Amino acid sequence: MPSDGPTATERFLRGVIPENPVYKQLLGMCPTLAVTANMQAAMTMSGAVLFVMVCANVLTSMLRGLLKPHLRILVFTLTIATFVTIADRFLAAFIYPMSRELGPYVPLIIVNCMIISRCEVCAQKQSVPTAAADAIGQALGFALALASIATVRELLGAGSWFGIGLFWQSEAAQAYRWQIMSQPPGAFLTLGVLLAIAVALGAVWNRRKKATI
Amino acid sequence: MRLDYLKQAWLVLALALAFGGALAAVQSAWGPKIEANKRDFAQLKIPGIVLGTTGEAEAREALKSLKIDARQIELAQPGGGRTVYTVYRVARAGELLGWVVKAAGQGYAGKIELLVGLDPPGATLTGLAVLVQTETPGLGNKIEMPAFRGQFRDRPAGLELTASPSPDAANEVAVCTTGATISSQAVCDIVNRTVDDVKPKLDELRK
Repeated sequence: MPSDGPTATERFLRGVIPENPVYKQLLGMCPTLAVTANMQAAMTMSGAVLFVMVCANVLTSMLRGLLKPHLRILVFTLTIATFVTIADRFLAAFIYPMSRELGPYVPLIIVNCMIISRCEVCAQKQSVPTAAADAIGQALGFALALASIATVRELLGAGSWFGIGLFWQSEAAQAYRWQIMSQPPGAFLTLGVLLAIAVALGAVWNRRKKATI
Repeated sequence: MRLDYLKQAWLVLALALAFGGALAAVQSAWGPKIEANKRDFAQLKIPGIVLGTTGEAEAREALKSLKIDARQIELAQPGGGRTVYTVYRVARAGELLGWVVKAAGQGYAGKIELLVGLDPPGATLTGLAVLVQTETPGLGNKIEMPAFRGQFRDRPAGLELTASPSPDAANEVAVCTTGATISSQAVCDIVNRTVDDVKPKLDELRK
């Protein structure tokens, strides 16, 4: 079975920073905005995406010789929906409070372009190890993006990180909390600022790279 | 021609069967645990509705002294079909403290499941908890917020409650947030229907 394209290591590394799904590809925006009010929710979502993406990529890669071009999206969707349902049931069975907090956003992973795009771009063309490395790299990149946004929002909005109170916990200090950061507008503001920083850093990096060449 | 369809689609059909089997296995393995989690979650809400406790620790402590018996009542609906309510009789040391009714209805985005509390005579609402809802995040899902739910406490049972952006009548409750009138009204409708259906049956349940 041919497996053209980048190696497994290249696929993994690209997913983390150079092709980061949130900051570079602007994919997976729905969970990025919706579940980043605190780190626990963001990391649970990242874990669910990691599970779904690895399973979907590996299975798609295993089946790549049997895929009909005009039916491939149907197969991808079927595969992703199955693993999302398993992740959703797992959370409801073993982390029920988090399952309630994430609500419809776990089932909504089914329509996350980030996952179907990895099946399309990598898994249907490359070997199983490469597809798995690609999924882990992309999921790690997604987790890093969610962690960066959730850290800013939870610190400024609640004065805590992973639910551990760090500052603004006293009653007198409550008035200084940026409550907007815990609410939906806070997600847009944080994403916008962090996205601008990521673009600026990328431009500086590219200039330096060109200068050394 | 049909054979050609099968040649094209055999992989999709095989995967659908395999995935269906896998999901059935997952459901039979974890389904009972998920149901137990839902039951525990509902039970934890009961002290808050009947006694007005706040917080999980306080609710767990209160549950130790409460005796909760669940009974189901089934009612025929005028338009056909049947509605089943689970009614929890909540007592402490032999004294009836109140009733909590599990009820469901259609919201804006999907099914809403509520616990509706009534005092022992069934004359006053004692509280409200949301068990399941899939309303719009940031709008309709604010029916879970204490500020909205708290409005139902101590209202006379039997008033035809309606949601209003600027409530001024005794039977009006404020919408949970601007732009979420349908979700807020759906909660009112479920409460109204539940009280109408269950209140006449409380005498039977006391026996």
